[in-house]
Amino acid sequence: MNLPTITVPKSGVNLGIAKYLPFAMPTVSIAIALLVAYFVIWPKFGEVLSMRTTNKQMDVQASQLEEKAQVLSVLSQDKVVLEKQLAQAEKLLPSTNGIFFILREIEQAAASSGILLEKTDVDAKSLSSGQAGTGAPAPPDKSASSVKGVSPSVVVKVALTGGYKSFLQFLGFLYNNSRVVSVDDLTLSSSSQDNSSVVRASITINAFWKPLPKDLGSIDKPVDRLSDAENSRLSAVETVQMASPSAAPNVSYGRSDLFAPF
Amino acid sequence: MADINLLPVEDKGSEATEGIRKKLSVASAVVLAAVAVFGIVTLVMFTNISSQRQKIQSRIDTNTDQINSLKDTEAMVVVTKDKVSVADKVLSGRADQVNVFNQFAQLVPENVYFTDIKFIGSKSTFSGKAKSSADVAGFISSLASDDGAKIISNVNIDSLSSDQEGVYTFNVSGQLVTKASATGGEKSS
Repeated sequence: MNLPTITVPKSGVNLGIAKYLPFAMPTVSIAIALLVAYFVIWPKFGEVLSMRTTNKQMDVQASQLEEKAQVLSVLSQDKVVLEKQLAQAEKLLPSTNGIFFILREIEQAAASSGILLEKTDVDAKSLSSGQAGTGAPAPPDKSASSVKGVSPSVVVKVALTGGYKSFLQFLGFLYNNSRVVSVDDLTLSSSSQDNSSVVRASITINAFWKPLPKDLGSIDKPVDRLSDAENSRLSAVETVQMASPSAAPNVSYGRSDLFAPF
Repeated sequence: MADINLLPVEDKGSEATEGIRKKLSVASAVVLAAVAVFGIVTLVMFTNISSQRQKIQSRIDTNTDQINSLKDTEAMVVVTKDKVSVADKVLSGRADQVNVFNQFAQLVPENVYFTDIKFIGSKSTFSGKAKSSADVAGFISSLASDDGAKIISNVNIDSLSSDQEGVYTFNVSGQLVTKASATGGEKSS
């Protein structure tokens, strides 16, 4: 008689588990779908978005490269002009310090202007260092020339004697040479011995040079073409005739007594 | 007797469960569909962007090859530009003493001559003699004039003295105007 009271609780427990079974399938499918979305699709979507950004950057780079390639292919058709411009630029600023050529030019300028070259002193520091005549960075000087430090230069100190007009001619020859020079320190004093117009001058000449670049920079760096002002600078060089800076001056060779004075 | 009354309550419970189950099934179907759509869209976008990237990469490769084949031309252009821009900077910035002397000569009165002229960097000093104070005044005023300001600025009399014959010895300093500073001045004015 007590049996029904025993079976009722058992059947109630089975009914409880069975009650949740129909929810299992959709719940599990939702969970799996969310997991797939979170762990697989969402990272891929992030990757897609970052790829889109990268593609935009790559597209810009490709356009720059295209432009550069076009510019270079146009320029390469005029190789003769380019070579000529390079030669002219080399005359303006040689790739080495070209000390003997600037000395030669100073001597020629002195000879042409009829001025007496008393002393020529090359600053050894400017020869050894690659920087503009200064081994160590100089403190800022208000009176210093604005062109100092623009490019390495050979510093030559020259003492001269001659007429005032000859001196001006000498400076004119120096400035009209193709090679870029600047006269920084100039002292001009009248000769006190007589009443003639002879002046004594001491000047510091900076002869600039520029070493060749070691690399051309990154491949997508745009090609800088010469401006009109720069083109006119180069064409001004064209009219000036001078020896190639790469050739040594002509001298006679051979000496029987190495210690005999000349 | 109490057990008999439980049956209708179970029925009601199973109906509610069936309703929730149906809703859950619909929700799961919607979530699955949404995830599937999201997945497909992502896949399509990925495919498109990948093919775009391939095209861009091939453009980059083609142009890189072309640029590399024109390396000589690029080197010539870069070196020329490098040298000429520096040369232009120096030539624009240097003091042109020949021009300065020629212009300066126009500003000097006849009864004034110089014993010493110095240009140290951009600073210039002039030492000389003048026949009278009027000549010194004329010299200083011409330096301070518009023509004088084109070559020397910040003119300063460092010393001025006369001897018993009335000849004045003077020492004047100033700042040499370079082409670059003159152009800057013109622009600023």
